Amino acid sequence: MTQAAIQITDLCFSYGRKNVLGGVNLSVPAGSVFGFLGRNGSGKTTTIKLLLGLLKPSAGSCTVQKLDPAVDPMAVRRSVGYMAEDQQMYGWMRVGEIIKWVAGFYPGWDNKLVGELTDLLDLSPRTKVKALSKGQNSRLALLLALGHRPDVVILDDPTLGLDPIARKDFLRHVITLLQSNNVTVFFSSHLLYEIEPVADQVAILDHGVIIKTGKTDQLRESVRRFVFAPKPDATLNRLEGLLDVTHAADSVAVTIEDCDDAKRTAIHEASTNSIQETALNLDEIFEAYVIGNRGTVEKRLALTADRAREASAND
Amino acid sequence: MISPILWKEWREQRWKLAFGTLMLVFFTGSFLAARVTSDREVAVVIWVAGGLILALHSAMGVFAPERANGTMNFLASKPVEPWKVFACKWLFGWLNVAGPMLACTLVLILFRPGDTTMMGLGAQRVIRGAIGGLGLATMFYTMTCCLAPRRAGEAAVGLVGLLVFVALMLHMVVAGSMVMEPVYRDNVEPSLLGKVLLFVNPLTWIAFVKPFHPKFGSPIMMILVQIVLFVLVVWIGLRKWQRSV
Repeated sequence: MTQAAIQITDLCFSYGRKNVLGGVNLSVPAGSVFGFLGRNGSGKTTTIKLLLGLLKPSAGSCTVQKLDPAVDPMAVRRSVGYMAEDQQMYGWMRVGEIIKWVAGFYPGWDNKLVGELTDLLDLSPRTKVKALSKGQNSRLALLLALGHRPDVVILDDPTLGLDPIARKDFLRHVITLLQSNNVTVFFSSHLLYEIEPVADQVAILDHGVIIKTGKTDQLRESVRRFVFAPKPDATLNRLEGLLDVTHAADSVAVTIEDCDDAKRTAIHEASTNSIQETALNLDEIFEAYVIGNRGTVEKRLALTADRAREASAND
Repeated sequence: MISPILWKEWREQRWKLAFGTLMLVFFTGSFLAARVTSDREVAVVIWVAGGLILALHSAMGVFAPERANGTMNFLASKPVEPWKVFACKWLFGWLNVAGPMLACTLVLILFRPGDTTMMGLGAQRVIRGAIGGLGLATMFYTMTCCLAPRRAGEAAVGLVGLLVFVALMLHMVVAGSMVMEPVYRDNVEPSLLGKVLLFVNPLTWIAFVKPFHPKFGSPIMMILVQIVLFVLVVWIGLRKWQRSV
């Protein structure tokens, strides 16, 4: 069994009366790239702050490299590389100065590695931080997160605010630097397409609860969309694992999780004609889970049934 | 792990320290040279008004810029205990108050070394005045920045400072009436509670300029009460800071 680099058990947190996390459970295997997906405000950053010991959990626990951040936050922060969303650094410092400054916090700082990364990431030590572009700023933040050779790197929406080219450039660097060194990467984002090529596993967080977790490939395999014209008396809401329903003029598209032969048969029985089955990308899977989770599936199903009845009456 | 914080604070605060020192020394020298009023009044204005303004200005720039510039998260994620960051920030902010005040005390000593006339400044008065002014400014600075470590705007911290000052003035009116009246009446001693209540107010540091009235209480007692207040205020500030990181 693979050892967990990050283990989260029934983690709860609330800001005053506002419940942000309601019992999160996660296990991030060592050496994996773990995509932590969620919309803005879903609780991703709060989870990360709890992992770093910047917040104390209301209930539950978490460990990073077997260290409890609530008990020994300094040890966790020494062993973790962290890059915050839209990371702001001291603009008055030069790149060389901020590298030296951050190095002062970590006994195991690797100057040789940092020198190589500075060249690789195309950063000039003489440039002032405030003069860096957003892309350069992100690359510098990545460098600062990796300089002490951490075993776990936590990236909190690292490409927030970057243009598409800078985002691709940044992700290329992340893949190059992290996947080859057996580092565990906990990559939080709301941009699914940027996680898809790099993540081995993903978890979807919505309203402070994990609604799906699994290997990226398996998730893509198991979630399917079927497009077909439903029979007037079809009871689509009885389909197991139904995540999302959208309808066109005379057809309906249903998204099903954990798709197997039994579910395919059920859809065939509900259909009047041929069925188009498609695999989804992570973006579409995420959307299906989050929308499904918001309880709108039932409303859409009711609308679809009404339309099917109308079409049948017209015929 | 504290040296990077000390280095950063020094680099951020050093120009404020230089500017504050130059300004206060310039005003002190100008007032003394112009002879618009007595040296003692110049000294009191510099120590009290100058100290309070410096303290307010310095407190505004201690914690708030870290939040306003969005660097708080970056700093907090480093493996350094929040109390060390708090202590370094407080220290360099305090140096911005103490540095200029000590510099202008030196100017006062150099300009008028032996003037012990009624309106002049003797060395003893200079030292007592400097201690009183620095004590008041230190307490006012500490109260302002410790009661507002979560404020993201410097103006908001400044407003807290002004409210603290107003509260201290009102407190002085109430507590002063409990002590001052008996002080100047024969056969009446101010109560211990009244003295403690008065000594809680940092404005009583102004009384350090001249020897305490025998009925007023001892300076040691005042300093002890102020130390207790200082520890309490720092504890509140540290808790607020740790919770907000």
